[in-house]
Amino acid sequence: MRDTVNMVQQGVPAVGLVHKPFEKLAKMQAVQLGMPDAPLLIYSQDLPSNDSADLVQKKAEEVAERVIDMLLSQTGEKK
Amino acid sequence: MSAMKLASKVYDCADIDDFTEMAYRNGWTDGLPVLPPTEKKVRAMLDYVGRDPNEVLGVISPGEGVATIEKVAINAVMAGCLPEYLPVVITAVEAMLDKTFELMRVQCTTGGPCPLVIVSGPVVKKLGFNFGEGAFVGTGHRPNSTIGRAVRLILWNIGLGRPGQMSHATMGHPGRYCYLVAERPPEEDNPWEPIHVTNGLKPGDSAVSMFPSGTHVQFNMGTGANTIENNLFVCQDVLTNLGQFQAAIQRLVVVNPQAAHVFHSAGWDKARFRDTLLKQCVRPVRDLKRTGGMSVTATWHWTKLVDVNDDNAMVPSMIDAHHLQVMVAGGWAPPVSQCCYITSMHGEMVTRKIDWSWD
Repeated sequence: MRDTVNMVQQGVPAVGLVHKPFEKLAKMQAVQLGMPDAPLLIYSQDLPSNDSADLVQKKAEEVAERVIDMLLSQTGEKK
Repeated sequence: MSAMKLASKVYDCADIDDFTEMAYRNGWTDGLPVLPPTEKKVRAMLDYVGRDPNEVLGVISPGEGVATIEKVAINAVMAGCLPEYLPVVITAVEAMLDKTFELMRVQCTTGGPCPLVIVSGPVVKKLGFNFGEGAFVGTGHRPNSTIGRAVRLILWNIGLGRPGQMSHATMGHPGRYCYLVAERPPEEDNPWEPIHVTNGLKPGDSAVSMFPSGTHVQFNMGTGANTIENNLFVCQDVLTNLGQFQAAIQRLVVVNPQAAHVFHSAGWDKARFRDTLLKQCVRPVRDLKRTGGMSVTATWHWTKLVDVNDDNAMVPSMIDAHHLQVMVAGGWAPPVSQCCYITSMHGEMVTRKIDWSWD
């Protein structure tokens, strides 16, 4: 979260990737860092070792898409 | 008493009962009562160390609280420390702020580790730490109990590492009220090299080593009742249980003094004991394939250490001598009595010299 907040404060688009179980931690830490609306991407809990390689790849691609959208929204650009 | 201006907010309260309830209402306590950090007591601490109250030691994760000398002193007073304990508490904080310790993860991870304070060197006797019976926490001994508690209150009040909020410990660790052990000094029948010397300091130095502890396991090696070969076999079995073996991690073995003497008398110094265990503490790939749950991105995940296609390949539970720390503490009981085994979680032990003499 420190890195995310520092980057945003410097005008660099950034997204904090947060595993669902740590959502509360991330949001509370963002408040402590003075940026309660820091850009966070909360992704769901999973068990990669139980998922097929294809499913893991699909999940990663979905998260990557959301990261790109959030970064572009900070620059005002569109895909 | 110094006239230095203090930065902390002042609260009024009628009496000790009023303060106690105020501390609970404001979340200043880990659940046990705390002492009021009066200006008189805090200034006495600050006067003892003679450091600027505004001096910043660092930022305590995850709450991003700034650990100044003043804030550390306040928590030390709340824990019941005497002024002469403050150099130990400050050194403990400095050690936890070393990146190697990974304080953010230690405070927040689901694994729920607890920083263990290891005190060694002349400070042990100078401040009267208990290094004998009941060495862990040193119940009933003020330096053990209050310094250990001060570290917890600092992590609680400055670092905001609180369960249900920013700490996600699934189970938690019983040491999360106070977790400290003092090493038995050489002149008190410890035949082995002090832990701070093994970690690069001089024998005459006083030191704090902070160990990010995931477990606390008492075990019986059978020393004195069986052969040394079998003692080591039992120790190996404890250190290689599959519940803490998905990745090679740092481990701490605390040997009771009589057992250390049995080994030492048979020609086993600490380095020989440690290095023999390092060689023995392995398990085959076929066993490791039955484990799971740890990300393969872990630095020393077992799949990075051997050929995963060779079921007979042996996986090390520790990668080098730094990852098997050994120290001597505890009562002068029969050598067959308990030893203790502690695993690290995420970070690694950090040792710091205490820059103070108490003379």
